[in-house]
Amino acid sequence: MSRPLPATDAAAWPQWACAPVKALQDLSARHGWSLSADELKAVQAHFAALKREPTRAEVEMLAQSWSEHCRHKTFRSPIRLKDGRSTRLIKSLLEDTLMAATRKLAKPWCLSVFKDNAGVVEFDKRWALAYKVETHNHPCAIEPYGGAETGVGGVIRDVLGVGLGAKPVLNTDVFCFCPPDYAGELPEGVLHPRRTLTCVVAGVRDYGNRMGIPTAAGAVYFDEGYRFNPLVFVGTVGLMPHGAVHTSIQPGDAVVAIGGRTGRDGLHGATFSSTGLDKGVDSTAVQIGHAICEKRVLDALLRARSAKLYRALTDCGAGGFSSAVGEMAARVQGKGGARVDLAKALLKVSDLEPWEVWLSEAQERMVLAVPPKNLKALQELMAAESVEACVLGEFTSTGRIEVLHGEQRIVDLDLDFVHDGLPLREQAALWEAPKTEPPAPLRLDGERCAQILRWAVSHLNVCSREWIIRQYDHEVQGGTVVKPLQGIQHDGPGDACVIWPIAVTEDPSDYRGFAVAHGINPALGKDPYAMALACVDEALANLVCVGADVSKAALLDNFCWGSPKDPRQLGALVRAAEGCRDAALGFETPFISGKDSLHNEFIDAKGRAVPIPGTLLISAIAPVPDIRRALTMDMKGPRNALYIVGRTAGALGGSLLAQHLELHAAPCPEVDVRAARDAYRKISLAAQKGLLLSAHDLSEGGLAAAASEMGFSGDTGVEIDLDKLPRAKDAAGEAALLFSETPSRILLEVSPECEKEFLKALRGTLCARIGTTLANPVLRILGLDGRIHFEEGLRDLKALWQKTLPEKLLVGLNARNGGKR
Amino acid sequence: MTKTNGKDPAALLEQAAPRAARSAGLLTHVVEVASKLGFNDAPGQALLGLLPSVGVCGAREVRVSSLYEISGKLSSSQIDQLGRNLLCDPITQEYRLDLSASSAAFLIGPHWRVEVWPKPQVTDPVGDSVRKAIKDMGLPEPETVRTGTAYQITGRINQNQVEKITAKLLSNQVIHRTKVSQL
Repeated sequence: MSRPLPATDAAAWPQWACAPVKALQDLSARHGWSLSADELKAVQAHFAALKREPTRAEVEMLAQSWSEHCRHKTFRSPIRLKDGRSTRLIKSLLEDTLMAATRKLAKPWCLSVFKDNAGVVEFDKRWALAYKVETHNHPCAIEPYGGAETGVGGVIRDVLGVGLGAKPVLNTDVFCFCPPDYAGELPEGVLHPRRTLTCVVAGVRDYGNRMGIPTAAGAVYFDEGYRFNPLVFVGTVGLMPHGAVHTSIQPGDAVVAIGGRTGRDGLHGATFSSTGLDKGVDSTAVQIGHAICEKRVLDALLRARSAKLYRALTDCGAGGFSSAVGEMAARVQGKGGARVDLAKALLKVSDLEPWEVWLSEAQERMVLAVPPKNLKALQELMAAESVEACVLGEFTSTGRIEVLHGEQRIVDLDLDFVHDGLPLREQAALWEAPKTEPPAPLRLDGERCAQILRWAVSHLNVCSREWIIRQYDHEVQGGTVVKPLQGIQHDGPGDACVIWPIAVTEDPSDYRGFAVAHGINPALGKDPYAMALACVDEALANLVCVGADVSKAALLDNFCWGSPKDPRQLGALVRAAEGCRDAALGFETPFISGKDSLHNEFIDAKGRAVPIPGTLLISAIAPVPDIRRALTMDMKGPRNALYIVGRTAGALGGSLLAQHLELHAAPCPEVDVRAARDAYRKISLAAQKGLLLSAHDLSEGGLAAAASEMGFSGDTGVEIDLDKLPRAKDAAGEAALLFSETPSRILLEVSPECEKEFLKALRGTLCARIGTTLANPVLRILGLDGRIHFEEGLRDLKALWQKTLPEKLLVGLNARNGGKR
Repeated sequence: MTKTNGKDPAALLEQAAPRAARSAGLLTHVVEVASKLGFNDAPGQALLGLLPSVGVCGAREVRVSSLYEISGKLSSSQIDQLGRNLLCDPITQEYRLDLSASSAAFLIGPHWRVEVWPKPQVTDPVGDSVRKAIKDMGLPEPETVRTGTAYQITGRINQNQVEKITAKLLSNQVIHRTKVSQL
């Protein structure tokens, strides 16, 4: 080993061999490594055994690869959960919940799960679908535009870097923000939510639009709990031939870096996102995206894939070269290993330290494993596409990761130590079931119910997202069959989007497509187990509503929580993961990929941690056997029958009604998984037979909001007789029936000619005809006594529903005279 | 944040563009592109609508222009060529060099001017693309091109309000440097 480090004073870089843990902890804090005392001791012991000092680059590399962001320590370490009076040990949350469910279901159409950059499922006999959803929360809190852009860029590269690469055909975006009209105090350095929202939307828009990828599915959830830590989930779906799913790297293959140059941007992203936020942030933690550069990389890679010029690839995400080369080195046949010379890397600025080159998270870079005989062809192809490429070194079979910078050796580590040397420590978790009160009968008169409905449709979590959606190009590539905004005026709230990937398959006689939907409901956070079930249920219900085949649906999880060092936070996280497992097993839908973002908390001026509401996002993808039979949610015309599937229960926990009436102790609704699975499959089949006109799931605002949305999107009236609604005993009174948010319920519009066949198709499920559609655009609700409970004009409701977001964002007011469209 | 109240455009430019490039003997020019009077300035109008959200109500108009700071071995006439043929849409926009007040779009009477630039170590993709485009035009490739934005606000507002607007709406101190001046 040549010189360990440029000579620095002893206080700045102590002798590791004899340094007390305290000194190492200070060092870790100063350099932002986020390494715990145990981990620092493990590093110390490793180098003591080697009888040498670690270099800066080595410690930095270990800090990155052992970070929560890269290693998912919380999900892999043993957890001792105290649940009420009993205590149990969970060996590994990831293995025991999400992966266990997938393994047990053993679906043959799952082609690659939980190991590559994205989950891969079968699309048809020739093509496979890759789907990945990532979070980019910390960067978006600091610099929302750049953070959102690089989030989108990163997840696109994930899909581009799965197997031999998939061509992106869809971007998705889900946000959790503080309400944009928040008027409370915000500490120095925290951006106002109005600004965060507009800049994040602009970032997602600019990157996706410039890359030529439609952004067509998403959701936004507002809660003041996100005022310090906004959540930004971005996803990409890509298509690849079956032959590109699996890869193998041979010793001797060249390590080739392509795309953007390496700069000082984004140092310490992985370790930075593994701690809480406080106000001091350095600009090197911020990356700026360059969509045009990534577009060139995409085009060049797909050509190189067709020409079979490389054997494997991965993207440079958190940890930069260090994690990309490190991960690939472990996949090399035999013992694995890699040797690279960073002096060969192309740089943006010349004054980078070698360790900075190794760890920089500069954007738009990919690493390829290229057989030496193909190097020349690859370099010519890259030059033709204006993509810069450089050969950094080669993959080896030494079992070591060796990094040089010219003559200087800056890293020489055992791969096993990098990937498996992380000491896992048992974590304590605590779960206490929340106290609830059984629902009391609600007797609210018609005028009061109508007033609640008007409040509900203009609520931030229900209102139109048109201002956001319209900024995205959701039509590029020409395959967006069911669009995010639906109905006769193209402004109704779609449940899911349906994509016909003709741009990739290039076969216009093949009508197979796929649908993507989301489930997210942090309002159920007091019971994370129920929340997980409800989120999976909602995502699948959304897929059903566009006519997808839910028997082949696959799920992705994204957990965003506070610090796992807080046993209560961890306990809630465990309950949510267990809910995911039980939902996956019950619905028979496997999880194929996932990501967690923990430490979403803000340390306030008094040193107290303010965590976000525990948030679970479920993203679901399923094939649509024939896109010509895909459904939208708008009512298609008068005199059609309106059916509801599912039973309405009285549990109002997490609902808008509970929020409105301040029923804080209301229990969270439960999901009857077996009944729901059965119903969803039957509705799917009915849709594929063309028996349905429209479908919409009941979510925020319950039956009243869903019926209003279907009606005003189709400019068609609705009459509903509440007495005909299948209901549980505890659902008493019109208000509960109208606004209960019991999961697993879907409203279906059926033409009179198809009713008989429809009922036959749904035999065995709880399904009832509750009303008809009307020519006059009103929502007419008949109460339990058979009299008109209330009647509301749908056009007025639509105006209320549309004006909330522009009003709160202060956009378009000058031009539109008060937001009236 | 740098603050200046000086009214000498040349002095302003000096402070707006203190770059390492100049010390290397390279010439630095700033091209500013704004929409012509009478054409819609959408970013300006959007910003005007947002001003009340930070408690500023006296502003009458906001105009937004793009700034390109080009350091390299390009002559003034070559820079002029860039302004004309690369950076400006001649139908809807006008440009000027180094704060010269030549055309109508830039003669807007007394106003506050806020310039927002990325900090030197922050990646500037548009700047990089402009640099490549200049090379593609057959001109000498500049050493650096940085892009910024200038906001010109007219109306009854004071320096405190302008600084509030700058901090809350126009810039992010993590990645931006700003300069406020009264012209």
